[in-house]
Amino acid sequence: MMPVADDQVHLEQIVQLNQIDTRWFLPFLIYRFKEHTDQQVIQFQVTLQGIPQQTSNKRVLELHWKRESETLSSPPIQTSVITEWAAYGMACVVVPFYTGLQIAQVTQIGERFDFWVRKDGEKFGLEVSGTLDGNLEQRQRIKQRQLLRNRNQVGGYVSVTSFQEQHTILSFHRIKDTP
Amino acid sequence: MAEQSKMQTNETYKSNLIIEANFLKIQGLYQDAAGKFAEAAQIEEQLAEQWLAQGAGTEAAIHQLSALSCWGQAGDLYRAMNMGEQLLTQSYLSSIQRTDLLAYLQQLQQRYTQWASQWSLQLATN
Repeated sequence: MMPVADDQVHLEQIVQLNQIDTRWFLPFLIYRFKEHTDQQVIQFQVTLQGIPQQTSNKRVLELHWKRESETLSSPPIQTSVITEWAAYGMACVVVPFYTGLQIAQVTQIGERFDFWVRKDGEKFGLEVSGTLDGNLEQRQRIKQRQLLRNRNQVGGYVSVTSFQEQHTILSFHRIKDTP
Repeated sequence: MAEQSKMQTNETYKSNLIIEANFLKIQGLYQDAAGKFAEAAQIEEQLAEQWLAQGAGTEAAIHQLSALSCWGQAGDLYRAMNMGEQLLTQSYLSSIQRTDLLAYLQQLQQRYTQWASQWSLQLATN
């Protein structure tokens, strides 16, 4: 019996809130989830740091999906690539859900982050990373430094996920936070 | 306004092509991925021209950098390197963009040298 979650999302619906087609990431995300459950539901701890208009910084997020979305069974793909794409998938869920922003564009060479996110004419960077069992806080700090060295001098978000710990940190950083 | 909206539609479409191309690439479907990268490169070139027409050189350079990266990933190394050399002559390139471009061109040249030497070796042994 799972504890009561603070928030619930349906993967197939939430990813449609993004401007670009982020459904490509779902099979990888679900593949990582299926290593921990034989059902179509899982709970993740989400830590929110500096996210505007969020009063609580610890949330339990329950993620649901449809059986027909489980399209990746034993892929001939490197483990690290699956984890990276699964982390993109997780970011495509938590960013629109907790910030109201849309993932709007993939970035180009040398931009120091992975996606542009947008809302009401405002643009920010989004750097994403995933790990199976690494130190999430340390990874978040590394990714924060990387994001804030971007050539466009824009602030933005970092989304890091540990699939073993079932934990995501989503944080917001301004250029003046540069360590 | 209509022009901006069309550009945004193209940017979204191009982003979807790049994601799909990467999806195909990680599955080993390189030829299919190359087609998507080439299509994305052409859209990036159009976007760059539209930004240049508006006098926005830095924005144009972002798309030119992406175009040459897409040509590189489509396997057209000569076109990517040639585009990069031309871009280096542009005054609107920011210093960070210039540094990134030089590093990327070096990678492309190494890849080209590797491919050319392997190709020569193959021809010699046939």
